[in-house]
Amino acid sequence: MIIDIHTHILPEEVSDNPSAFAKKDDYFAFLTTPSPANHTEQRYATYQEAVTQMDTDGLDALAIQGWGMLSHELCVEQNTYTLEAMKAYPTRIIGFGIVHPKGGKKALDEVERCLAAGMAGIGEIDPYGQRFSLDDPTFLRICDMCIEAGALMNIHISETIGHSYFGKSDIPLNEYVALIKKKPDLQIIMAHYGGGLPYWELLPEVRQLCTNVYYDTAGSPLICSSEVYQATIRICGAHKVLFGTDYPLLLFPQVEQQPNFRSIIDEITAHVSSDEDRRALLGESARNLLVKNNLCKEVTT
Amino acid sequence: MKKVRIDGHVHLLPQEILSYMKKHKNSLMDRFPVADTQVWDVEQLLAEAHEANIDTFHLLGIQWPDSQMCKDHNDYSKEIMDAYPGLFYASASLNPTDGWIAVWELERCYLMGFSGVGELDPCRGSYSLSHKRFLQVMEAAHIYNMVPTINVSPPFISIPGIDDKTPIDEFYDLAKRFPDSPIILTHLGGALPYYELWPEVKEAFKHVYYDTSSTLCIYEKGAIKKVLEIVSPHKIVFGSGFPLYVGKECTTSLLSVTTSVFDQLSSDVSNHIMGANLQTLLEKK
Repeated sequence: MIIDIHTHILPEEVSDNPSAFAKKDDYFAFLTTPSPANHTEQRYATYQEAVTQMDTDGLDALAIQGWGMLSHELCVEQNTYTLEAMKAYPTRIIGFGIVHPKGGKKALDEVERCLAAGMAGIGEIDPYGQRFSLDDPTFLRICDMCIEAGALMNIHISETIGHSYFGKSDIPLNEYVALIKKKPDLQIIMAHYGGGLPYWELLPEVRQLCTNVYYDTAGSPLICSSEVYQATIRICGAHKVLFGTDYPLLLFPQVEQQPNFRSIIDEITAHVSSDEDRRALLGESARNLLVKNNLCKEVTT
Repeated sequence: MKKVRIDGHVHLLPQEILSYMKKHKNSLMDRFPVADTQVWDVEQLLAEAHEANIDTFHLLGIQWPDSQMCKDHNDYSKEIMDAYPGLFYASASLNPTDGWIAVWELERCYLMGFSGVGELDPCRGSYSLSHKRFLQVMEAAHIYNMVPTINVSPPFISIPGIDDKTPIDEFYDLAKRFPDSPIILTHLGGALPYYELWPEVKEAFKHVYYDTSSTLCIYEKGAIKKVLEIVSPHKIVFGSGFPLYVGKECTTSLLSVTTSVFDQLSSDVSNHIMGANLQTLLEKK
């Protein structure tokens, strides 16, 4: 079973005319407008196009993560589209809702709406792009709502060293660790290898602390060497590493012009030697996490 | 080059400094909480080393807050080098915040035959890795081919004696600033080896090495083996941390530290890690 836990499928209003939509959201504009300094190759896909690509590439299911918009209203629009996708493909599409903590009570109501409608959690929430603090009271309440509902949270994080690129979070790793300490029961999927946190699990204290922390591989070929899959599995175990792509982002822009899932699956297949680890990484670990929390039964059964 | 087994991270202290530490317990003992229960004596080291089959040592200094203490410590290291010819390499005790005094002491140590500088300790010295005085020391070390050793430790937990809160991106910037200079980072480099999976970090860290001191006390069992899946075995140097085997549930002898590290190494890499890597670095001088 192959599950991509990290994609961004945006409403057709966005994919039809990204530059027009960019006028509504500054951070979206910052990330997606081509410029001499921004080398990201953003692409767009509707959920119907994504499912066609899934069929081509042998993907069983994917999770739509929300894009961290700056306004409450745009978050709601996205969630409505994600719910539509889930309804259209209940066995193939998992939804994560997006909110902005500055929405306050409206954001909390939206979390309730998303989780009640069967979403697996909240994400990819982005303290850097959405410009909120990890100790924001509304955000912490959102964390509690996820805990109470047995839902997941996917949170954006980036490696704290290395070169700069658009979208690279500069929120210090320590602040995420403080959140984990504050909310040890929150089941967090930390995007993009948790910004390096997996390594710290070599410290018994950190491993204990991160019992409910998982890491996704989103964007991997753009930022890491292909050894990262095996190394991360060896450090923290395949059950904690979840396959994610950031689809429809172009992961191999030098050689591909169309987004797909297959190229990164092939890279993983080539670099994770054990069948068991590879199966876990590509889907079983995500499935187990959903099953454990009684989420998205149509997908997991 | 003859085959050697080097303990790359050893601290020995002269009696005057030990007495001073005991006298000023409040200000200095927090740096070495186990100082008064450990033996810092060369004879003790040699006895333990014999048992552990270690034949050569890298004496690391300490970044004392007082420049005279640094000087006394360096004189003591020189005495040991002279008393046991060929057995000891030494790195200079310096406090970069002393400015020109630190650079002058580095030059004196170079003339005395020292091979490195450190263990530098940015966190306890309250300086960043872009501090001008620290960079002056790094420049001088580069000119004299003296290898700097810098304390790094995991930021999320408190480990008396080796705590370090230096932001890890400062190490990346430092490595880029000195692309041709070897730098040894202690305690398996905190999390830095993992970031070598990011190509630009690997490139910047071409000459960054990681020592194994206190590893067994901080990390889970088998950590070195896992790190060896990320970085080349040529980048790992064995160091025990003698006599400061700090951390929880820690081993207490050089033999047990050496054995625990050695057992994680395959035969094709053990010679490099247990001595050859460090020997190459320290003999470049």
